[in-house]
Amino acid sequence: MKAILITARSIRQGELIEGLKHLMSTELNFCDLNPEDMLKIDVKNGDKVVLRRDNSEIFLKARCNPTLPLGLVYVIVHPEVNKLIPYNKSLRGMMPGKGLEIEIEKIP
Amino acid sequence: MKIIVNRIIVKATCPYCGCLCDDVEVTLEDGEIYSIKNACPLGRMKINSATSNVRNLKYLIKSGNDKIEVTVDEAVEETANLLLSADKPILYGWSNTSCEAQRLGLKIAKILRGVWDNTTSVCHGTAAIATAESGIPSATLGEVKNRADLIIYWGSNPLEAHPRHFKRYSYYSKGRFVSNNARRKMIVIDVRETSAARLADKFIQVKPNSDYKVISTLHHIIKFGEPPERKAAEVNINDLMEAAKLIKEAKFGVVFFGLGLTMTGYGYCNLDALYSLIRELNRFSKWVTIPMRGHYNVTGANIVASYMTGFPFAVDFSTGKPYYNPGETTIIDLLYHNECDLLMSVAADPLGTLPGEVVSKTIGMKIIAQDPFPTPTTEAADIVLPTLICGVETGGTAYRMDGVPIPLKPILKSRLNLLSDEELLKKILERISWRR
Amino acid sequence: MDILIENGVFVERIKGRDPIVINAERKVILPGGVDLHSHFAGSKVTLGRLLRPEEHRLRHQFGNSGNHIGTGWATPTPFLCGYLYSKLGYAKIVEPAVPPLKARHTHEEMRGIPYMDKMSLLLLGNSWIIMDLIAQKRLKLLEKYVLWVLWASKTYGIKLVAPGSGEAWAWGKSITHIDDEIPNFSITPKDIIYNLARVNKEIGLKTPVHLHTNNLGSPGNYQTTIDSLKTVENLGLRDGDSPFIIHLVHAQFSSYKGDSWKTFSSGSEEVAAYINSNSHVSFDLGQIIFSNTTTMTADGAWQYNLYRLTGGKWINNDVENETASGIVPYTFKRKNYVNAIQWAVGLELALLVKDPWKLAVTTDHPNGGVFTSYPVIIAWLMNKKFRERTIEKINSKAKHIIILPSIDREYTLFETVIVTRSAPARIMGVKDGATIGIGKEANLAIYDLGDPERDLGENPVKLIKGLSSANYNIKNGLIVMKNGVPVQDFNGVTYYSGGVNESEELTELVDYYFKEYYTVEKENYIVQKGEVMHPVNVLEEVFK
Ligand code: SF4
Ligand SMILES: [Zn+2]
Repeated sequence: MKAILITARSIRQGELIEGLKHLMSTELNFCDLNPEDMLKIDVKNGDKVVLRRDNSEIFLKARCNPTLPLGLVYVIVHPEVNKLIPYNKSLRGMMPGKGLEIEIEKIP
Repeated sequence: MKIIVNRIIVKATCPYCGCLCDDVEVTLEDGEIYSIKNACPLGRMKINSATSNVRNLKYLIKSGNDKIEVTVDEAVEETANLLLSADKPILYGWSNTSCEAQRLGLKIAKILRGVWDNTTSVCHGTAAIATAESGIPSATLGEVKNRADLIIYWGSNPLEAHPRHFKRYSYYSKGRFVSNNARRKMIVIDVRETSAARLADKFIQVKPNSDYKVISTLHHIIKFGEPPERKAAEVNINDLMEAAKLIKEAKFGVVFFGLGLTMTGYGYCNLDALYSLIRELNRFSKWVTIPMRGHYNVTGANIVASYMTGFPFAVDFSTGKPYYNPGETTIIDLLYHNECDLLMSVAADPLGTLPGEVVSKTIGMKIIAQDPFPTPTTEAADIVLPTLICGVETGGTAYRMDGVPIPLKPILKSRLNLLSDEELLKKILERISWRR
Repeated sequence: MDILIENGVFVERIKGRDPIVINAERKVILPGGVDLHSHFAGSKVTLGRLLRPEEHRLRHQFGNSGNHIGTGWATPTPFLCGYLYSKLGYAKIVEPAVPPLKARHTHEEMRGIPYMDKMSLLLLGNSWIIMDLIAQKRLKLLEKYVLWVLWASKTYGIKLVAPGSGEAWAWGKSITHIDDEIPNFSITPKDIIYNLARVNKEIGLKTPVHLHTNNLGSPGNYQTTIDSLKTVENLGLRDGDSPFIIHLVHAQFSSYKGDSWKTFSSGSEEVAAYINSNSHVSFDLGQIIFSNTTTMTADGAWQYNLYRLTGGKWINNDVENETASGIVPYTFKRKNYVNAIQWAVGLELALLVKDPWKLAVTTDHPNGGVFTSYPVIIAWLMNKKFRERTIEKINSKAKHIIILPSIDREYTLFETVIVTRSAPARIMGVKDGATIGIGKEANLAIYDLGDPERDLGENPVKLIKGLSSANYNIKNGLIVMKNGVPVQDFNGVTYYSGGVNESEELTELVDYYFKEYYTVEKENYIVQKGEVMHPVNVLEEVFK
């Protein structure tokens, strides 16, 4: 399924960022989806999903979040997620960390 | 039995986020942290990290596949070697350290004819570009505390990223002309219902990357009293009409904006549109806008670079004179196009925070990483320079998100025998100047 | 004649051996210049830099000289600022607009300015504490507070910018009459002007209150200006070197007649007449130079008007409980009717006021133009023909209504020395720093202005060239600059005033404002001496 990726911060992420980065890949390895979208790609809470863009992909666990609008994948920002972010020449030095089009799928 | 404990309370400035809370109180017992008052979980974590075991403890130099421990002088010598033999080094980071260190970094970059960039380029860089386009109507946070009756957060969630922002400066603060939050209204505008959105008087949900259109539509409604003919489909127009009504009723309004505006869609155009809207609103009443800066001294990095060179970030000295052109002299562009042959990171983690496509280009580059904590960047570095934690183990000056300068204080004496960023950079600068 | 210098001061005889000898035959030797009003450091200067990256490309320096960085036209970097002033033959400069909350920033930049002695003025005209104390008539406590806040910010004197109007602007409003009540404060701008001028005299500051008038920049404001000056007439003169009770900053911007931009005209005769017939007022020009610049002032409401007039860029930056501020780029054009009159007003004031000891040459850098233009102003003052050459080129409607062409006065070289050195030094209370006399601070500038036997004003091109780059700048007895090239590093002192008054009442007062209204802790508001370059307090540090 095509979706829009939004990365953002959280308190826990903020706690880990200075000094505890090594814990991020295990503690923050989930992504939020609207329940309807979860049905669409046939995943339940805790199921593994893959997020893809071009040749990069990352693996996370799905988490249900009914407040999210349809078609949005919300991930707490950490080094792993940045692998999906491309370089974009036209952004005057900025990285497109929010609002990126990606592909999300269940891992069987 | 009588236990004698030696307890003192010290005042601290929290070296974590752009709120730069300076009312934190740390109780020390025999020189160790006993308790921390007034800090949020983020600040508490940062202050406590002084005692954490997850620190860079040794000066390390890569040798084959291993890193060997060296003395500080050897590390400085090797750092100077690499810097001097580089064709075009980039010195990046600077937002988590003092202005004193930032100044030294600029001098080093100038001598080396390198590039000095800070994390602004990938967070609020677009806001700085928009400021240069049209200017920003702003104020210090106390103006919001004392006067604001309408507070808008756009693309930022203070509850997660700036936890004390509400209480100290905005919605829940008490001020001279607004004594409590019953007299304030809050609007949150975001792509998803954030925790802050749930507390707002009005939450407006927008589609990702559509902020520019939404701001322009709102501007149109405020100016002409009705929506434009071609309505933006990315937002509910009735929501915007209601927001416009609240906005027009306000005596003093503020828009706090975060990465939700600076990092999406048309980047700096979002901010250009926002500043334009704020200018328009000043025809009716008083309106200001304030960026929700992330790192505690990212504002200082912009201020120091501005007064030292004229430019707030992405300063390229390769012609001998400061040259600035975001999109060309910014870190991700330089790395992506293989323009630099050495990356020195100071108090930042470029390899852990930059886009994958850019990080992959650093393979084979020489990397020097100066940081109190281990990160993907120190991991990959040819030289690791451990330092004291600025604002916890050593002092300096920092600037809050609204440009108010506040001293950072050494809260406790470090158990580690290390130098501060400032001291270490001074040694490097001396070494380089001498060798030249 | 020989001038002898040893250990930083002028001496009668030199004791040491092998002194450096400078042959200054046929050169003009002057005391180091004093600029008493120039916005060169601090928050709004840096915001000006942020607003205008295009402007920094106009001037570059030190491309290959070590780690010094120099860019900027209207807002040169600190190192470049010190360099340019030194090249011009200056020794002491005054930053005239420091918001107390951001004083640390001003000092941070001032530390980076080499060669110059620095002073700064504190923005107190819209301070809540001050307005409240005046409203409550707690005037003794007001004195103590002023001393405390000067001490806390390590600044030198009091600056009032459109008193009360900054507070009104915090609500997006403005005050147009000095008898109007300030919103929520039940006092008027007049009360602020009067009380702070009185406090200034009582506590013995070295320089009078510096006033940026209400309605600055607007047609018809000369009346507000004269009314403001009248407010303090009955306070008498001050003790000490600087007798004036009030210093009118950049008077040019406050001396206009007319009731709209169409009927805009010069009010210089009225303002000059008032200054000539009263002894309590000094002023500086705020001369405009036809060029592009970046205007910046604590007068936020005026900057908003200017932005509406130009339709260009605008930064606003109000500082809690203290002051407003704004920044707008602007180009003064010869062919623009209003600009042409503004240009004439500055020179008219300088020529109509008889006593040169009452005035100082400034451009209100960078508001009227950049300080490196001072030699051009000197040439205009010294040479009527040179003025006429400029008048020929200005807006033709303006040409016919200004009185400048009818003024024949030409400054002598001696008078120009007064208005660029002695008078500003006296107004600032640092007279000894701009005097060539035994035992005085040895600050000298040596210029080549052509044949000294002839009238130096005769050849304005040569005069401007000569004054623009001193052959030598000697600061505290050291040669710091030679033919525009820095000779050695040197940092001047920072003068400040004020003191701590051990008073419970004061502590209670200040603590209350920090607890309730400020967003920083009191201890972090106080600038420590260690943050200031070579601090020198000109008053007692502690009062009982
Ligand atoms: S809000 Fe920011 S500055 Fe304040 S305590 Fe929390 S992390 Fe520190
Ligand atoms: Zn001024």
